[in-house]
Amino acid sequence: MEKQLVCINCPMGCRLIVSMEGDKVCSVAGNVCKRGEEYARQEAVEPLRVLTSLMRIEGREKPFSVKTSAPIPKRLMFDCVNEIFAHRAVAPIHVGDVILANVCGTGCDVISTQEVL
Amino acid sequence: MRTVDLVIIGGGSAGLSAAVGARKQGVEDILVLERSPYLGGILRQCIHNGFGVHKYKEDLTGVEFAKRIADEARALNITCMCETFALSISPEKVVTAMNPSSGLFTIQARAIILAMGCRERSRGALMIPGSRCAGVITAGTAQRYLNLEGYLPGKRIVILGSGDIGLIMARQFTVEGAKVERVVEIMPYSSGLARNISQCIEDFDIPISYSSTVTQIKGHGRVSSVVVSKVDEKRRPIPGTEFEIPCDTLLISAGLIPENELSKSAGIELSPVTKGAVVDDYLMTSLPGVFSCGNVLHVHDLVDHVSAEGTQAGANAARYLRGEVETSETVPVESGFGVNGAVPQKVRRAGTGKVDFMFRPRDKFPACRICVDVDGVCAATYHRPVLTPGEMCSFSVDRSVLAKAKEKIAVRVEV
Amino acid sequence: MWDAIVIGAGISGCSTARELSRYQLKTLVLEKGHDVSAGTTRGNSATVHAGYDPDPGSYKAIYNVRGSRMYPDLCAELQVPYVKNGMIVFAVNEAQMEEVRRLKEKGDSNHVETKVCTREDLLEIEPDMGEGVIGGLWIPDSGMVCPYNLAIALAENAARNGVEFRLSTEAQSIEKIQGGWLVRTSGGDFETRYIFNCAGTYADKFNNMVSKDVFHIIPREGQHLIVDRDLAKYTKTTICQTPEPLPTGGHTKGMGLMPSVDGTIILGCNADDVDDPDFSDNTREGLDKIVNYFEKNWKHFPISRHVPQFPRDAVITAYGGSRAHPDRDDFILGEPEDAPCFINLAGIESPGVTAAPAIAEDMVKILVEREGTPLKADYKPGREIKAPFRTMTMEERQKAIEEDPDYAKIVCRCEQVTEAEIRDAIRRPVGARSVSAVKMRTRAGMGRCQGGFCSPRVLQILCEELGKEPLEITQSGGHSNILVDHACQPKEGNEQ
Repeated sequence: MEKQLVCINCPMGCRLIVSMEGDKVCSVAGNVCKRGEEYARQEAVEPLRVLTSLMRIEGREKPFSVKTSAPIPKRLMFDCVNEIFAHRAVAPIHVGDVILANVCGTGCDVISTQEVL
Repeated sequence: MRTVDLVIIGGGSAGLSAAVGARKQGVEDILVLERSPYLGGILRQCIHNGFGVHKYKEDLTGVEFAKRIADEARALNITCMCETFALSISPEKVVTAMNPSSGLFTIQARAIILAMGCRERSRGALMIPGSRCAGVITAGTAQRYLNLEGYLPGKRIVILGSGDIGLIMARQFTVEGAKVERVVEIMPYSSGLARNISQCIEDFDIPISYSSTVTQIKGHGRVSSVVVSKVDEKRRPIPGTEFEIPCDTLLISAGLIPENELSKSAGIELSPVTKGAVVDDYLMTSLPGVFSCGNVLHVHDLVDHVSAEGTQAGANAARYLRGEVETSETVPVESGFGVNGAVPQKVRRAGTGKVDFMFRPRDKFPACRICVDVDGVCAATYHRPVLTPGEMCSFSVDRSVLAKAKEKIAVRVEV
Repeated sequence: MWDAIVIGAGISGCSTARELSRYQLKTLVLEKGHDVSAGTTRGNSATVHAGYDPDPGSYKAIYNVRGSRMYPDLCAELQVPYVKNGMIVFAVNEAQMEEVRRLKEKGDSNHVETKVCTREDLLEIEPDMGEGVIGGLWIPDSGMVCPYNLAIALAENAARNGVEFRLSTEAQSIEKIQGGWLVRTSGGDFETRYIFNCAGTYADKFNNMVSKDVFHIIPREGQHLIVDRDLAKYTKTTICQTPEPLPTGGHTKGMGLMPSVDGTIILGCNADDVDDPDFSDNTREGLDKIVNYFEKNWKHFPISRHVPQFPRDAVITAYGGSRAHPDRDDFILGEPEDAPCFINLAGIESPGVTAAPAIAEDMVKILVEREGTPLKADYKPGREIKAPFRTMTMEERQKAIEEDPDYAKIVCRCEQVTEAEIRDAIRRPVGARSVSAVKMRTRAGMGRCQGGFCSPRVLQILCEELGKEPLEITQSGGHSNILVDHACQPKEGNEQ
């Protein structure tokens, strides 16, 4: 099986062709640099994204901003969003504070990117 | 009247980087004027990541980047006056400003750095026909309502223009549970970064129509639909290609314009192409001692580049204050084939080191060379695997190459 | 029972309301829009015509000339900017010069000062007069005003003198009752002795409910472009091309360039009959007509000496408005024979803005002379309002900030509108209740960014002043809410 991807590492936008056998990547073609191959190997098997979002604060009108501490599987993005939206953080909050640990079992935490005093 | 060595107008990423750059080069007396109550500028509403990869070697969100750079300025004890609006700059470098605590005041600056940023092109400037109902909003304004106020300005959205803010907002609206019906781009290619097309549009299967535009807005009170048409090569709508998309919001992400009203008040020469000041390789404008950097100079794609340009402007202002920047003879830089708005627009003959150039490619050019012509003769070339209008192109040239120029320097693309 | 109900709060209704407020009368104004001046009054050429071109002897001629002469005092009294900048109607060929001489004759009959000029004469008035212009008509008494600004000022002044305004209240039907009329509205029923029909493009509807002397209003749309204030310094005089006859008969004023009192330039306009009386859309055809005209004819205009090409990039917005064109050739004024105490101010198309104050005077006279209504002893002719921050001198600004630090907070950076002015616009009589109403009173959001930066802050201030939630704030009343929901709502089935 083949998967086609467009590399996002630089403006080149190389068209990557990933040959797969089941869940395993056999080869990557179309890339001109190593970053393309690394991207394709991950993207073909389990695309990962950093999720950034807003979250509500208990007793406050305005939300604040959060992100996942590392890229999470793209397929879990909306599950994580729902968990984030269901949660109410408690001020004061500092940049880097862990707000939700191991969100949706991803092994990643939801951390604050904003200071709220 | 109070005298200040360096006044910086704008406390966003360009202005704060300029302040830090100048302080590190030994300028003690720096004053940053910021019109909003907070430092950080537009980054405060950018909750998405992708910032700082060059500057901090980290993938930060805009909010984090803003805090980091503001913290740097604070750590260096740089004086920043927030909620302070600069009303005008005179050709003598007198800045008139005001704030609620000090009222109206004037400052005699020895040097000034302009870092006011840019604004979004509006529906009015695009002359989109149709109803004048609510629900037509620029991407940055929508971003502010959502990220700073916590409100959704729409739930069923059509995006006009594939500028980066619009793409970022497409993703965020989707995350918020809103439906992005389509992105409509008048050019045959995206004006945003490839990464954003992939991760903000394709990730969510949002349809995108190239060579198309919105030709009518319908709705009473609030937008109820928009009409989209294909355009010909002169960007004129093609009759008979119209289709209607029901929606409650038209989000406009169709370009940014440097905010140079203050520069005009000082009589500074502006470029009709970049809409920013005409600068030399020190980023100095036509008014000696006044520098320009960031999106007020020309619209960048990456905050990292804005910040780098700010740092450079700060360092150059420091040199100017030390008397190391002579008003010396310059050679004009022309934008040749494939090049839109090369900055700087003039280069000094004297000096050492490298000169950094930036421009926006006019089209997509695969496997090409950038040529620098000195008095009509190609003096240096730089290979690029690809150039696209969505990404600013930058390169550095040895001044020794340029110093020989008698009449002009030209930058062009060779395919 | 009310003594008088005014239907419609455009320039005619507001002029009438203010005129009525001089007398000991109980007056109510009904307006279906979210604000005064929400219809035709906000979408026209902003010109105070001298009155050289209506047909001599017509209502249009009489009230135009009289209205025009009222403007300087009226605007001074209400602190509304007015500039007598003069108008040049230029000709590029002999046929147009012929038309210029015809206009001159009309002007003479209407007792309006005009002068037929050669190119040399024009150059003395406007040294930058463009290429190809062979002569034209000079009308020194032509002026500019901001019509919605004036309508708002008239309404504020009327309210200050006791007139009641009900906005977002649509008059739906009128019935004759003992001693007057019953007006049914979307906000309840009202009884009144007199009705002033100032309903603009809907005036035919109300007249035809009470009178067999029926007429029809054909909404005729005009669209305009606004050019950024940077270019206004090059042009002081209103410049129009000699009009061409309309295919449907009659003629409209030609395409023109009007320097607004606010420092921008107005370009327009087209004239197209439309079906919808509320039509204020910009159409592709309408905008193209204006852009194409100015691209082709830019060289004739004095500004082309400084800006050689039509500055497409400097256009900051476009607007449209439907003029109330009646199926008769003139304004329709006074009581129909079969409907006493129902007074029409109908068919008030161009030069309606200019004529309105004079028309209102005479129409109100019908009531007060018949009833012998005495004047109010404590009538206040003016407004209590500060000049806009952007027009203040440095000393005035300093003083304003000392009195109210909110004057040091710029909300609209393009037009330099301060927080103090926005709060005042909401607190004033007939105060702003929407983002658009704030814009009309202060110019916040009218500049080159078109509200991109300031509208979120304006919305916040509206919430603070009115005790409302952000979701309740509208752009212009009705269902024009700006925000639709809170962020961060967990959703059922929120999935890719």
